[in-house]
Amino acid sequence: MKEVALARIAHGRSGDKGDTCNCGIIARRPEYYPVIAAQVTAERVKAHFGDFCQGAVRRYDLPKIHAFNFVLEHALGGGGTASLRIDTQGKTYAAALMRVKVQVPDDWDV
Amino acid sequence: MKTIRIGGALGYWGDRTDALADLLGGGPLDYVIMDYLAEITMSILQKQRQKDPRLGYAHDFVPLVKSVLPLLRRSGARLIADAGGLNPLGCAVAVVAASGDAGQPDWRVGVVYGDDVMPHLDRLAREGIDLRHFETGASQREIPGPIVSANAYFGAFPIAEVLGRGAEVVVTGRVNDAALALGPMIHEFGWRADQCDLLAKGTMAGHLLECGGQASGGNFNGGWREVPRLVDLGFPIGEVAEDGSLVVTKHPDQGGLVTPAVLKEQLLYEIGDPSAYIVADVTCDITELEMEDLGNDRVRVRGVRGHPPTSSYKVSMSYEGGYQISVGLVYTWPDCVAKARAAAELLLGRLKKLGLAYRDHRVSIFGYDAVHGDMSRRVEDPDEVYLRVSFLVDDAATADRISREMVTHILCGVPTACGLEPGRGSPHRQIVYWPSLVPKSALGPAVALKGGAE
Repeated sequence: MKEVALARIAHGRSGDKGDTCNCGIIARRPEYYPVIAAQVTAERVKAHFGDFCQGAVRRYDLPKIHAFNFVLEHALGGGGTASLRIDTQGKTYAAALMRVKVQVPDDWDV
Repeated sequence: MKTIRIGGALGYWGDRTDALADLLGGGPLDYVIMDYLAEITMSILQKQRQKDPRLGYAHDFVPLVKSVLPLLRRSGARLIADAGGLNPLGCAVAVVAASGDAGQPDWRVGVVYGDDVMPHLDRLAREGIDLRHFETGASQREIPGPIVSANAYFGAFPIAEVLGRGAEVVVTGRVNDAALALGPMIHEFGWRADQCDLLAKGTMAGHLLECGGQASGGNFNGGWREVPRLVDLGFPIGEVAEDGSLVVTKHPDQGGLVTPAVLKEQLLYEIGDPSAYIVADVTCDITELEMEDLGNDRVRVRGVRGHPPTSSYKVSMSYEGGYQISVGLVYTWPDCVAKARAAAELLLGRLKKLGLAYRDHRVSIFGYDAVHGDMSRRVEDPDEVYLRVSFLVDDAATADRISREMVTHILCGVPTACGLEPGRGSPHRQIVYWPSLVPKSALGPAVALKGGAE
């Protein structure tokens, strides 16, 4: 096995609803989906975001399109125009999530 | 089977405006939708209306419509936009006046309004309806500042109603974004309020179109290098049939990309539980949704299911908080991160010495870890960084004094600093979002027709 950034096997987009941020994460190939499902758990994502996410993280699975929706509560420092952060609407949070490391087979060309 | 083509021409107030003419001129379309209203847009419009009661809508929508009126007539497409904001009637009257100026005085402009909850706040309170924060459950009475705006999210049936009365342009206040597209489907296909699967299919079609270019290659994280010609990005088009089946595409001779990967990013954009995506008309379940690449920028979407709607409208409220001010300077090699940190400490020390109090602050070092904090790689000893320190304070005067203090760092502070932009930053009033629910029995939409039929 080798370790790569999630960005090598997935892509995604993120946005806001108030102080909640969601990250839609999509496997780049169907065979990557179970790897992400096994390794990128809600608990891991919560730990990854650290003090950026003050609330719960929930993961919803969409196996038919090989995708996941991660919902991060209290993750935008108040959100919208209330936050002192830079990315107050979580537009770049999917990219931040892409930094998570995953173990993949050595022969995957990723 | 009857099929209609709906284009998504605008994703927020500030998005590309030339996309509208490109959509109308690039090929056949039956409807074009434009979504102006983000969560915070209503509070901006409220401030404009406070200054002038004739305002409160997306004012640049009016000259934009005027510029495309001949193109609209030629194409036969009808235009539906939530540009009405807090003053849909005022916006509609302005569109009618502009069409007269353009020599097309017989335009019929439909209006959907009644979503403004502000006039109802006292009555709702008397009736014992508490607009609780729907995430925290906190009572409306705990809102710590003056309420600036409160709007209910209406559904698509009132849009269908004014289309049925012959409106060629429809202007709404706050509606579910996807309702802009569902309205014409209800009108064209005669879908009923109890046909939940159809309403859900139409809603998800609208969801894919409501953010404009994000569904045709804009902001595409899955392969931005592969997107052709963002310079003339073709905005997305939904081909919807009366059984709710959907193909998303774009005009063939324009830039952009429509693939399953592109549409999956938009499908998941700003949603919560995919088994219960709630809008006023229906609750959508996309857990069984599938996409099929038909090639040539055509993607079939199927598998959306619907369940009956809830008994509430979502209400988006906002209130005024404190004042925010951001100050900063650029620091260069060597040791620019250490310099930026020292400058932030110096600023905080000076504020303490001057007796300037603040409620909250945040130190951000761009080029190092400003956006993603502890998740960043934190490359040591970069060539340059930008220090930004943001404050939340009680009043504009304090914000201004903090802004002035940062300027003194040029001569009295840590070395190798320069400004990023000319001038000082100015404070802005913090607008805090308060999402809530209101029973559908407590208020409802109204419709009107302006122009031609009058």
